[in-house]
Amino acid sequence: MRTRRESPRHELGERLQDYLEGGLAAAEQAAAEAHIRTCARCAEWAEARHATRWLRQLQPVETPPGLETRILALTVAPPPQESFWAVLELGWRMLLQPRFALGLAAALFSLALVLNAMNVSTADVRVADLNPVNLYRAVNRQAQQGYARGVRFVNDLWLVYEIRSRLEEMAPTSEQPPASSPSGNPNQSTPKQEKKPENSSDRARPQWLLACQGFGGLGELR
Amino acid sequence: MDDAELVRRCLAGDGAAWEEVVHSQTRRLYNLCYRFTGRREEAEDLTQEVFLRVFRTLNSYNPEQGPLGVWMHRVARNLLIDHYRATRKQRLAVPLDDALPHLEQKESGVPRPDRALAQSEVSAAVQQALTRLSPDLREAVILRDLQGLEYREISQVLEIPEGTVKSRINRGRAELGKLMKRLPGFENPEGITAP
Repeated sequence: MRTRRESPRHELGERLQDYLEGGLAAAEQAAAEAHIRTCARCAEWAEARHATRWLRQLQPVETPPGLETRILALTVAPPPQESFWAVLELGWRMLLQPRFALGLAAALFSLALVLNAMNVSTADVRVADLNPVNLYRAVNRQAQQGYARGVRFVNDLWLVYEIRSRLEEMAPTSEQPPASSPSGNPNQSTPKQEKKPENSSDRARPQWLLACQGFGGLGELR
Repeated sequence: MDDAELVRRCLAGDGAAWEEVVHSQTRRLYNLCYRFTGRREEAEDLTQEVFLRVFRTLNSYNPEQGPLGVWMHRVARNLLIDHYRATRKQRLAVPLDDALPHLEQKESGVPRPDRALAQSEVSAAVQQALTRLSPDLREAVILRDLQGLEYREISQVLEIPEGTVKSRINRGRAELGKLMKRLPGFENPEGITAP
């Protein structure tokens, strides 16, 4: 190995490349061959020249059919360097896709329904309304009003009204301490007797039974 | 159209320009891959891989550093070395005498490079000998003697000095000569015999 590395500089020197590739003039070629015949260290260059000639004799191999087509199918075209406008255009094209457009339309329709139900009119919207503070106030006001309406609605329900009125009727009973209570406070017992003397018979009954009676009597009241 | 313009058009998304690049380089790069691996299927896969890599990194090509073909050779060469390292363990060492066909069985005369005799078998034998070379010598010899690149271009592809390129090519040729000397029917065509 060592000998081989040193040999290019031996005798042939810079001409070695030309000798191997057949680039020497006839006289130089003959001199080089004469030297190689007699020099053990340069002998391998004869073989190298031989190998070079064989190598250069090789014909290029044909590419497999369809290779170019497959390469083009894999690559299509290099991705263009995307500018801001190209991205914008891509977004716009996505927007125009039927599936996306239908989805967007459905979402807008749902939003319109919700806004309509909340009595929000887009015609009344002004630029000042888009101020975050105003927006917050408007939402807060809507929420408060919604809550108040809800409370009023529930309170106005006939069933709730009935239950509440019954409970109010029962309220003194529930506040009264048990009859067996040893408490002798006159302030407690006196108002009860004044308020509901006619319900004195109910006092002994459990409250849940009274509640049931109340519901049972709804039909009569109606 | 020069390489810089061609690449600029490719990067702008011009399919025809890219097609031109593929058309002009496929054969050369396939040959490089085939001569290095010695297997057609591998060469085909690797060629596709080379173009994929070129496709993805085309914007890194600098026309001032050399022609597009040389740059693509460098991409291919890097891929071949990666592939060589990845498959080193899988390859089984095939004895040369088993791998190379014995030409004298079919040819009565001595085959010479200047005679177009049994071209396919000669090619197969030389190819087999070539794949026995170490990868650094093999790539240098292929780039010079089969791909026909200038020493300066090979120096760019391999990213080594020109002196080292020449040294590797010569050592590769000498190794190849030794391997081929053992083959029957590959006697020295010029009658030069070692003393």
